[in-house]
Amino acid sequence: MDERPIHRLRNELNVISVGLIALKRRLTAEQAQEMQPTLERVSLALARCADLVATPPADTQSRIEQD
Amino acid sequence: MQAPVLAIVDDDRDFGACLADVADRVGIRTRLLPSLAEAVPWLAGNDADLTMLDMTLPDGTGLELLERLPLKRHGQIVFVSGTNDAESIRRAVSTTATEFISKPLREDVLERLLQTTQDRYRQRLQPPGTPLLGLSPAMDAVRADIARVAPTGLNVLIAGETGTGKELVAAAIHQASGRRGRLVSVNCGALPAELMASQLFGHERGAFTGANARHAGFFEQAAGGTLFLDEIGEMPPALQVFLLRVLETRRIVRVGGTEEVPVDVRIVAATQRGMQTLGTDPGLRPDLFYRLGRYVIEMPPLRARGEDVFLLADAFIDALNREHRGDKRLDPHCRTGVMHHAWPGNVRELMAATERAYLVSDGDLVNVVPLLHTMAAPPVEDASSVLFRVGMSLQEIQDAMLHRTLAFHGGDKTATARSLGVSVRTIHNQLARSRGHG
Repeated sequence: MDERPIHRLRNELNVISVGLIALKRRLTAEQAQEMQPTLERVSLALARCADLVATPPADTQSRIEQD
Repeated sequence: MQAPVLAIVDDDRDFGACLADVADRVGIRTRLLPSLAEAVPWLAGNDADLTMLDMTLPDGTGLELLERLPLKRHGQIVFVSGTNDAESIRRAVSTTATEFISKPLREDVLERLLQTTQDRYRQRLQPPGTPLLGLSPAMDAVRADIARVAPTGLNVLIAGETGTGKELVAAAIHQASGRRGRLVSVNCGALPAELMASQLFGHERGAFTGANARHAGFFEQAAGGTLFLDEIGEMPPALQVFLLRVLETRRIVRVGGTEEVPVDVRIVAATQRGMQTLGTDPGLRPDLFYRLGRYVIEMPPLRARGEDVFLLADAFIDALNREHRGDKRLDPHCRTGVMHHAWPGNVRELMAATERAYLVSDGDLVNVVPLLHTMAAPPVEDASSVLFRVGMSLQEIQDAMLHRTLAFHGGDKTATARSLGVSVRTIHNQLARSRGHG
């Protein structure tokens, strides 16, 4: 199976991941506390996506279909 | 202004910009190099403490870049790539790159890389042979341990919390040992498990796809010297069996080979476990623990080192004065706060707080305050905190605080009294009263 789309997806997720890290560090303590549930949800979703694209393309496709 | 340098060799400019933003906030300067054409001349002419390198670039590959660089002048080189191709990964870690990290880059991994970059930069600034600072009895004991064990050739296990200076102890042991080989430091938690065997023991040509030449592992690189294995409990159990065998036979077998190669390497390992729980580290095989733990050196947490905290803060400020040609000193008004803070990140946390305070201070006085975490974590009770609920009596709160602080200081009533701002007699009285209530 063509690896390139998954490779691109990993790169996109990478920008989201590091962008999120940068965003968190720009927040004041008060803003961070206020946004904590949202940030946690986004982080969890990102971790789940990262987990999915970490596997070879064929496995990823079947896992996405299973979900 | 001097600062550690991070070179980002990646054509994704958004990634580069976000990464630069994060690095900049912890005082690391960045250089974005989106192509081989830009990366090769810049890296050939400048020092980078950390180079984060993508595998695929618009005009070539990260592997090509490595072939064209004078690697000795560069610090850590880490591949950060979206490729999942096993052959590329094996080729990457067969080079002098220290690590291969798959995209997306995780927050804990990035923090570790930035921390390592700062540590290496500070080590680079520190003159060789810098002694372990501290006048406390705990540090006297550490120095005595080093002097006693260094010439013996015994393997050593260093136990201590994060940031207490375990790598400095390993370096001091190596320096005082008289061994002529190198000190090679390896963080077992940072090596991918599946590649650890090849990295430690080396591999033969053709051991796997992409192994085009024989590769000397860390054991061979440290021949005649010392191999420092940090976070030993993170080493996969199967590899611990191999390590045990190497310690017993003093011979290694390279991956893909059959020949036993004799190695003369002294092992200094480190764990974050405390002395009381050393033998119960679930990550460390008991037989390996007994083999390594014949001589254990315990690094004291900063909170148990009394006034060493001021000595260290002064030393950091002196180093910063030399670096920035300044003439600043510790603000006397912050001494109480510095002494009472628990410093869970130990000397590393103090160093970071001092550096930050130095850079933000306008005048001659450096007001060191513990760093605030941007992300406010939900309150969780642990060994260094107590959670009070509405409805508890003041007596219950006082007792809980007293017992937790006492446990935190390992039963040291003097340190507990200092931390709580009361006399030792008060501690004794409170404990007696508490026992009476119980």
